[in-house]
Amino acid sequence: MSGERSSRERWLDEQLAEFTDRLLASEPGLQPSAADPELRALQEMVARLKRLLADPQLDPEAIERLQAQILVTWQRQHRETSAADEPRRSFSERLRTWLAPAPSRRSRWALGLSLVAIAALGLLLALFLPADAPLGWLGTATGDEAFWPLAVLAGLLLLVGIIWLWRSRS
Amino acid sequence: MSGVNDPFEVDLTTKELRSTERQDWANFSDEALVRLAQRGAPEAFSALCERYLPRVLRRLRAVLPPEEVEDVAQEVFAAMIRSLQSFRHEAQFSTWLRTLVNRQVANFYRRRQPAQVPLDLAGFDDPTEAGQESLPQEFDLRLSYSMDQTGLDEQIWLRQALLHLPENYREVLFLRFTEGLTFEEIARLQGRSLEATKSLFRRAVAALQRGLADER
Repeated sequence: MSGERSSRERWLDEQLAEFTDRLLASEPGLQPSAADPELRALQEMVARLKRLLADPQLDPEAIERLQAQILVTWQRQHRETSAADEPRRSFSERLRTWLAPAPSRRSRWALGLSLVAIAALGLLLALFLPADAPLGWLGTATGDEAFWPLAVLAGLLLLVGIIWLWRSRS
Repeated sequence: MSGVNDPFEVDLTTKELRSTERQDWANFSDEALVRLAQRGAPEAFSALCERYLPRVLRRLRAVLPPEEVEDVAQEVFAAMIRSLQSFRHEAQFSTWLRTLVNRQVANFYRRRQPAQVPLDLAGFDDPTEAGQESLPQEFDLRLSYSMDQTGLDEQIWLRQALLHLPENYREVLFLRFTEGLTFEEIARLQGRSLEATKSLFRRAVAALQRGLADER
């Protein structure tokens, strides 16, 4: 009896699985129609489940909107995680990085041009400012007011040159 | 998923990854996409999202009031984003995501019915998660719809019956109907024989039928 029952259960398992596969593959005109009442009731339940769980189409606009919102959340979280993971650098480390050789020829040229522009601006300021106003205080210690501003400018230019050469080395 | 174009097989550089065409991401395995997303590739995360969002929505729609589905889906993915870095690939990504979905559904009903909670959602919690509150034993989904019993349609009855099913029954039905896995794929995923999977499926359908008859 139990063997018979077991073989019936196996038959029901197979029949229902096959019906479900065909139904979910949208086989046209497929209806619960088994002659066996137990199997037919199960087929009807599967058809109801398909209507509830598998049939309703998802709204593509809703999916797109949700996906965009989720991506924004991911980007925000990723930025926060990356910022938190980056170790805090000391002033000396940051200075070393800044003084380190520039990574590419292009950025070396950009840096060089920037430094030359700063130096030229300083030179122009010194040449066109009134002699008694800005840099004049430097000359008060020696009394030679014309010498010190020029010396400071020359020192500045030298410093600029050294930094540029340092950053330019490959 | 096949390992075609898997970046861990061909060791793509970041530049090559950026130039990967949108349609190519669909060929990457879940594992590859997760690893790339963990490394910060937005395209990989986007591809994962594209692959799994419809499945998550279908699953949520089966057990939640329709107006709550989008909010809970967002909560699922927010939880996934928070935990993605700690995902260690010890389980399949899809299994891990299903656990997150179930947990958010359980959280939803907990928030919704803190006192009445007569509903069986045990299977919706992750049993491996330490510190989880114990789940309610029963729950009346009709309360969450604020409808009279007479106004409940077939879908609501079915949802309620689904929520009352034992977890293994509910899971096999969801895998077949909402995720569209074949019986062979379900068998592989759950580590059962094909015959045992078909038997579980038939018993789940029968249990649902009995549950509906009891509730009516």
